[in-house]
Amino acid sequence: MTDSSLKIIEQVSLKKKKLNKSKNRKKAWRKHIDLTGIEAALDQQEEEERLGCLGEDTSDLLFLDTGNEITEFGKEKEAEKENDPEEEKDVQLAFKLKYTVDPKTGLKATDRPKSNELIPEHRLLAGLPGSKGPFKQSRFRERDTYLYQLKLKELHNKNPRTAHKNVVKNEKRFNTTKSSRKVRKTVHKLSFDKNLWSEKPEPSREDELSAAAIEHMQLSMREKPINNRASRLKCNKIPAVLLPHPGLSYNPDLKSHQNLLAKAVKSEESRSKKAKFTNNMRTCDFPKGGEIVANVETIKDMEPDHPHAPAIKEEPMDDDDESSVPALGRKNERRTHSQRLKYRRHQEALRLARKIKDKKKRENAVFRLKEINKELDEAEKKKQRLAKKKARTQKKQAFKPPKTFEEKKDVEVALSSELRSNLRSVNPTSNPVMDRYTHLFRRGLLYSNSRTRVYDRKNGINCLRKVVKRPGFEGLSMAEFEGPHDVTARPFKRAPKNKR
Amino acid sequence: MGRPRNMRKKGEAGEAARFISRTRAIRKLQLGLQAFNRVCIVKGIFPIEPKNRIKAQKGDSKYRPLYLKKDIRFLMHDPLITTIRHEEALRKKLAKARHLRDVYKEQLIKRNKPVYRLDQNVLERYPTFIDAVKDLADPLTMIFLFCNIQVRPPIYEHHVSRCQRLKTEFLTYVIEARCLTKAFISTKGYYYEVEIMGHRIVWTAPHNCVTEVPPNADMKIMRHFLEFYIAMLGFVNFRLLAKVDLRYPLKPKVMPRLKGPAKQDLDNLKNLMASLNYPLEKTTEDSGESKDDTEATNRLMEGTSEKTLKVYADRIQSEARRGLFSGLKFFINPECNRESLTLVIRSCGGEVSWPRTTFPCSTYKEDDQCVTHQIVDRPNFDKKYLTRFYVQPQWVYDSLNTVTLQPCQSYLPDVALPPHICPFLKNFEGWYVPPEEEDFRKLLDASPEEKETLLKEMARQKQQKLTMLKAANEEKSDDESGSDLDSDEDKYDEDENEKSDDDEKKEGKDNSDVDAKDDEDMEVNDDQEDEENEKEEMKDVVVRGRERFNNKKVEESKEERREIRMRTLMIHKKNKKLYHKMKTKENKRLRRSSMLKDRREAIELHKMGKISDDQLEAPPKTKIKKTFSERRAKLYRDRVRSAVKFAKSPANKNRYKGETKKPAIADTRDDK
Repeated sequence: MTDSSLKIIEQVSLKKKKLNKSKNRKKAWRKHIDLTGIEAALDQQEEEERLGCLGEDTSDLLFLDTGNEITEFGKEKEAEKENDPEEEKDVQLAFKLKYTVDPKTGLKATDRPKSNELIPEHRLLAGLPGSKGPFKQSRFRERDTYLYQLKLKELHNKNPRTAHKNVVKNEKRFNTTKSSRKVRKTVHKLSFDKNLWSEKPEPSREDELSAAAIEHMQLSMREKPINNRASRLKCNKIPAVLLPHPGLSYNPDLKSHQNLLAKAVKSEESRSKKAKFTNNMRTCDFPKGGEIVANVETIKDMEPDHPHAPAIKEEPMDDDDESSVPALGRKNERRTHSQRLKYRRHQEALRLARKIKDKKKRENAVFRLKEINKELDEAEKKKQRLAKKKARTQKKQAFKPPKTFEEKKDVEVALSSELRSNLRSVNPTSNPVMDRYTHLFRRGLLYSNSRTRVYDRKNGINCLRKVVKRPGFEGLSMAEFEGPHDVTARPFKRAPKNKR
Repeated sequence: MGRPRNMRKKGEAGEAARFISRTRAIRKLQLGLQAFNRVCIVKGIFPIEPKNRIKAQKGDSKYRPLYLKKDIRFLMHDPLITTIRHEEALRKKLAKARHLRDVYKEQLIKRNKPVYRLDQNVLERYPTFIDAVKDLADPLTMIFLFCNIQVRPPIYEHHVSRCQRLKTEFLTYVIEARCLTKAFISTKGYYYEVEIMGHRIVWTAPHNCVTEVPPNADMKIMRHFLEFYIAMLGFVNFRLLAKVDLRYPLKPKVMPRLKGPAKQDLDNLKNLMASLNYPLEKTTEDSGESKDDTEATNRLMEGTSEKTLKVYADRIQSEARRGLFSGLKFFINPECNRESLTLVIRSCGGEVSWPRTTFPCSTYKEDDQCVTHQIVDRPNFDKKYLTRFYVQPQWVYDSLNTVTLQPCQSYLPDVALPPHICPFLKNFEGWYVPPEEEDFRKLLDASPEEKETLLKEMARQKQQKLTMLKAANEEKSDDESGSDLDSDEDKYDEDENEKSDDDEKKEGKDNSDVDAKDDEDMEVNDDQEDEENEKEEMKDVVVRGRERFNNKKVEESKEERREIRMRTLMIHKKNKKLYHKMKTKENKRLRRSSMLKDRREAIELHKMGKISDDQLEAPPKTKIKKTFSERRAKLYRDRVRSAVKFAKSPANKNRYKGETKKPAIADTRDDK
């Protein structure tokens, strides 16, 4: 600003004070005053308001506070610095920045080139050319089309930075093995290393009240389940593990020992009976003997020996038919020549017929024998094939590793030697899994869905209806709750009745 | 006329409003049956028996499982149900992905499977630690059962491995705390008892062979039980192991140096813990100070009331049990059950080892001369060393149960073992107690000073029995060798004599019980005859006095009986049935106990050779109640007899003069 303009402003300000007093009959005061300077100043002020401080350097108003150089009394210190540079170094060491400052912007220096362009929103505010309003994406833009995506894929494949990602993705898609990257599980289901029943310190009165209020809110909002007492009730008085009675001991006392022995003997006997039944040969299992013999007799010695064919004694064929002719008639009556001739011819014809019949029989038999031989061979081959197959499967099974380590069972009952003194060779009775299952069922902790059929008296004979099994009462006998000896002390056998 | 305003509708109040059937509950929760079972098992909600079933089922008399309505309402807000629903939805998605063979999607779905923890449920069901300890019997049996079960689809390998881990943890606690009190081998498996925080817990473990999964049992339901019990026992184990200052999870104190493929195999590390014989890492180091409880015990002894004495005795017994095997070294042969034996021996303070080939962590070899006991379960075993006892495994269990080191002579290999008595027996009144069990109880009750004398007495009694047996056998053998020809006849004679003697004795016994009065009368008569000869004057006085005395007794007993009868008549109608029930039970018990006593005596006589096999198996002489048909037949027979008597009587002689052959009524039955 020039000196002249300042003077004018001073004049105006002074004049204003006078004007406030009276403006009557003083309309033409502008005629005598030069207003060009004032107008210029006002224009400038307007411009400043509009553009901010873009037009000029305002080093006096804004400065970067690096600490050492300029303070509140900046100018005084500057003067001092010129005098002694040693002090300056010490101050700089104390307030050293970690990053370097860009002198142009006064911000942190980066390698990346910075654009001087404004962000579009600011550009809009500034009213600069090229500014656009906020962009709304269309639904049918080019990027969402299928063809464009294909293009993009090609581009990604070509680009070395993005091509790697695609390769990994494809590998994952067709590879069933687990990826090397570890999957982070948020919650571990089986980690017991925490004290569930830890003793907490007693809360204060305020905490208690607030907790009660929160709980009430949670209950009313149905965020927390209602605490129920019924769930803690035990529905049965049967203990979790029934205590054993002395007859169960592996080496029991005499009485129960004998009972157990009797049981073992019974099972052994039944097993031996079964074995007998399976081992003994029965007549109905085999074909009848007569038929085979009749067949074979016809075959006899017509064919070379077969290893599987049954051996049969050879009998000579009797061809002398004449001897078989009854000779009674000859002795009594002497026949005429013609008669004799007739007889001879008749005999010859018979002989011929017999021969032809025999031939036919032989041919048939040979054919049959060949067929039998064929069948036998096939059967043998089949047997061999099956045996080979079995061996192969057995080999395969032998190679398979078992899922769990299985120990062999104890030796089964050997009545003759061991059992009398040592009961440990008896197999353990009953399946423990089944025992536990039935015990849970009895206590009413478990309900099977299976239904039993019960006779219905109402609807008549043979009418059955389905009913859910009722636990707790079926399998239980009173003996289990009474004394321990009650179970073992069953009444002995009754004496047979004396019939007279 | 409608119903009055105060009355409600039929199903709105009372028993009908309290209960809900299972099908309705399932529909209300929008779940399947399996999922419903799972939720109920985890939350501990079980069906309840109503007071009036017909009312609760709204008039239906069929049996249906009923739940409390309140319980089901409680379930409705549970977060577990939402996770289960989410799981079901994922299952459907997984099936679809598998059908389309989209492996990537399948993996994604599997990864997103919801994970839920059961710790809150455990806390809800067992609000304090003691509650959980009280209810340990069920989870322990379940987890010991699933340790060596067949692996089949509803149950997988991870179930088995988790169970094995929990089992080893619990057993290490038992060994460290030395709280095992009882052990029993049965045909069903092993029974153990443990005392934790004053509560006695009994659980079972199956035998060492793999248990097969039966087709009848629903293993899916069993798996849900197992899931909850695993979570519960895990938290309990953490708390218990912290009590004994052991690190959780368990870790060996010194890691062994393994090389090559053995280093990578994780089973080698697991086996260290499973052996129960390897030193483990502790949270705090042992100071080596033993607490002296002498002052406390002395204080207890000052006030000598019964309760304090009982507590004192229990304390002494538990201390004795802890140090029962201290200073003894055991060597277990490979045919024995290693795990249970180590549990028993180590919890009583003993040291254990086994051959190196059977299992890792064997501490010393068989050649070690410090070994005091070798446990053998084979009949023909070569005894190499004279410095040690060779004992069958039952010795260990019996000595734990009696809290005394039993004499080893009766437990040597290839010897018939004494009966293995069940330690869980209770003292029932009126029951028969075999002599072995009586000895067992005496040993348990006796103080450590008295035990030695008791054991000596028992040994003496045994020797007496043995000598008796030997003598009987020798007699037998002499007879057989002396006269071969006449032996059969002699035998028969002897048998007959013995039989007759025995019969007489037994008859006498029976008669004495039944006809006590007759005997008394007979005695009186005999005495009378003797006195007649000696003193005629005094006779009347003595007889009268005796008669009076005896009469008094009889009268008293009669009065007592009358009083009892009157009392029974005075009982109220309601209680009469119950009273009769109790009476019949008592009578039954007495009859059975007497029968068992007779049986036992017969068996012992059979051992001596005084009774043949047929006699032993013959029925006892107690009266058998006759059936209705028998009673009727007897009645008929009596009537016929009386009729015949009447017909033959002299009063009726004249009537049947002409028909002497056939009387009017004849006994046809007797002829047959």
